[in-house]
Amino acid sequence: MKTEIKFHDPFFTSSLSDEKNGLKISYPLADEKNIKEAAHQIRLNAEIYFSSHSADDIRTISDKVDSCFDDLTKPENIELIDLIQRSCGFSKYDIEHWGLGLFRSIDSYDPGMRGYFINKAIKENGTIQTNSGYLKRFGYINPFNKWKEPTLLSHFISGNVVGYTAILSKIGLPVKIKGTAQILKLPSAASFFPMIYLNKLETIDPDLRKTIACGYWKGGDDSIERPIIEESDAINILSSDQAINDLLTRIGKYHRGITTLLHGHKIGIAYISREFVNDPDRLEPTINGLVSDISAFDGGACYNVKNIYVQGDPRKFAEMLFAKLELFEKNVSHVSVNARSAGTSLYQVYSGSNEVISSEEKSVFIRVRENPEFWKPDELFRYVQVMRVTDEKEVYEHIRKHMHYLQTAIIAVPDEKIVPLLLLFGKAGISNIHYPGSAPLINVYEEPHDGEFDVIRVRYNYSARFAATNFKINSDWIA
Amino acid sequence: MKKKMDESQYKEMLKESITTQWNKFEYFRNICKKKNRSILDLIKAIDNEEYYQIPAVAASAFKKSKGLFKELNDFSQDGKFQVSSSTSGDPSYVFTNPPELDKVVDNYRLTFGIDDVSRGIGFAPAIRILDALSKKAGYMGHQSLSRMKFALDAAKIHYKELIFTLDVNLLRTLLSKAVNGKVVLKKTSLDELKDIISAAEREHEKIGLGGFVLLLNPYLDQMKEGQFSFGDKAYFTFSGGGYSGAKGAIRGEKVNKPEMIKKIASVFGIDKKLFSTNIKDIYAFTESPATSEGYWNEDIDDYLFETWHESRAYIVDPETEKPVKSGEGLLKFITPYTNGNPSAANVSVLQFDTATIRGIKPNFIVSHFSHIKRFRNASVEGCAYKAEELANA
Repeated sequence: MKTEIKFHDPFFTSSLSDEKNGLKISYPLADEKNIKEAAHQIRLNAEIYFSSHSADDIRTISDKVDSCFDDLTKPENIELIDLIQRSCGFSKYDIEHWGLGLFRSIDSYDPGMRGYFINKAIKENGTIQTNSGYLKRFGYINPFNKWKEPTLLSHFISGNVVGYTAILSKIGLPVKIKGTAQILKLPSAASFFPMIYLNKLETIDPDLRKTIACGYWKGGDDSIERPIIEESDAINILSSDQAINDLLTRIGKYHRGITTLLHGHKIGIAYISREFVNDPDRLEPTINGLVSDISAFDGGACYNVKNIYVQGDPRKFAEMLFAKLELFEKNVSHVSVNARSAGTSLYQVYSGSNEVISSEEKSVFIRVRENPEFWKPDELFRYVQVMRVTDEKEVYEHIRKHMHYLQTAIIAVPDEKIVPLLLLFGKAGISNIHYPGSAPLINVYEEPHDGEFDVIRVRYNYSARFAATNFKINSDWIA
Repeated sequence: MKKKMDESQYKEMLKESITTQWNKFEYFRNICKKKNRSILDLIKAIDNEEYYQIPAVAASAFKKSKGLFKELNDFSQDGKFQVSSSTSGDPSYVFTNPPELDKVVDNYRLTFGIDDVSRGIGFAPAIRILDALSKKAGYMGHQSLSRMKFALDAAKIHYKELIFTLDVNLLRTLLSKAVNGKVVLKKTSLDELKDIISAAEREHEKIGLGGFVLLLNPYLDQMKEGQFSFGDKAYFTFSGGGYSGAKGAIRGEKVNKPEMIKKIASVFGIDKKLFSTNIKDIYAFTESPATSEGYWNEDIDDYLFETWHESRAYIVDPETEKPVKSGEGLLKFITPYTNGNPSAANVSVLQFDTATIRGIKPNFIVSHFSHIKRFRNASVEGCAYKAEELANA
């Protein structure tokens, strides 16, 4: 028997059905005929709503929505995880740990401290100690820049990580003065959770929900995207570089000068220093952590580690990592159905190579190189490259030329090197420096996304970049 | 004329090529080992005409992004890289020795050349453009040649009068180079093109038109029904695919093949019964010298390809690589080197294109196939997005 789920949007009233794994799901579909009308309506709703609700009230409402996804032992969340898995194909482990796991850190964060570290980093030049790590600004912020609230923020999302796709809607909520109306494009690969999140918002505060229009349309459909671009005064894009360039060209044509937040293709790195390579007690948790940083969402997310720089024998390290990755896939988090064909084609290509360790199950691939480089993987999968480096400066030399692709770095280095690495890798363009096993866990109140605090940048057009760590000392993550 | 190659000759050539490939390439030995095949097993399979037992190297293994050049090519002999046109932005590089390079040109000559036709229009970039692109594509200290160039060289050998519709505007390029360093291209105008075609018609001369559908179609769209009346005197030979709307840097609308054929017939005055002799496509890819020809077939609404006479082809299951008896699967081509000395591990190649079996022998050898499509699993990149997004982006 099929389970039917119908999602509705107050503004995009057409629908599109998707059937798989015993589910028939109807999603709202954007219709070119009413985009302008929808934009005008949500703008009007936002104007009324945000002038009659304080930022604190809205934050309480938002926390209430987020807290619904806190307790994953609740029957409704167990059911939700099952539905996300069936509709989008991700492993239950990934949905629980990295997708919905994100919300705990958001709504449990001290309300009085939200924005504190970000504001401090904007104003101060040094390295700031946050609750969990360090935060540093790179570049100059013009103090004469003016704060300007957008009236319509549109999100073009091609996300495949549960959680992030929905919390982007928080960018439009008020920071200082008031919030903005928002249009969200549903990503075709992971449409389910954003609609659940908005439904939850609707039950808690239907009027706030009415400041957002959300639906699917085929990316690149100019008949839909043109009016959205024309109406928006800020656009947030998470997509392939090709899609970003295409949208930027059209933004230049239809609405030049509006604010754009761009999140393109990213390639994660890891640096493991000799102190961790040579000490079995520290090597084991490092490798265990890397296993989840590589495997989360089958390596398809922006934060997944791809390039691993090791201050030691890369082959030996790779073999240990490979064994753990295979076990993890077998016992904890299987390759999702969506990603299996990538594993098959990688196996067809690499099963004969001496440079690539490939699993017979087609679930894990590791390239081993004596000479380091910044490697751009040809497939997004549980597929990494391990290379020998002499030290962190050599890593810096390789990554700094590829700033465009940088975001997450996993480091396993002695305590005294954590801050120097924040400064060095931050200079290269890395924005999130995490301990092994925490690549997917971004703390939105202390860490930027791709070097940006989108929630600020959409209102305050600075040109600096930020980088942060999510730990201060190694005992934060190694018992 | 294609020289007939009987089975015993094919077997001997294949044995020599496979043995040499086995000896040279550890990569090939590794994939054989994973499938529990020794060289003796391969020789036995060849004797029994069970060529499908020879494991294939995935064509995409030759792509630049895979970084397997040293494991897949033999640089100890003379040679040049053949380079694909790289629609994905990730070209294949296949190191090819001189006899094999000549063979590729010869194969294209046999497929592009039409007897008694000396006038031709190539809907393709001029050779000088491809020469320049080839020069830029040099890799690892070796000269590189665009695979597309082989086809054009072959056409140039056959057709006494041949023009290409895309060329460099020399004067404007000179000026532009001084300002921004860019090359300015010029397309043959519709009127010029019509004049050339009309002259052939007037003189009752046969004419061959061919190349990329994406470069022909914009002209075709502007031509009228009944514009010409060639009967059996016009021949069309397409190559390089591009039906999806993209080929290398060339971009256009997605091509509906049956509609395009109808339009060609109506513009050039070609009767339906001539479709199976006068309109063809060539299926070839950089990782193999084979150039299989397919004539338009009204019954299946597609080109019906005949496997290149010097290759043995199979349609195989994408997961297991086992040959299938009917339906769809991936294309596997096995083609021996002319000199028996492979310069790359590409004697047996698995291409990530699917096709439908239209003719098959009891030993699984596919004689005819149709409906070639790109296998859905594409390489991807992006900030948190999946393969489907690429198509939707």
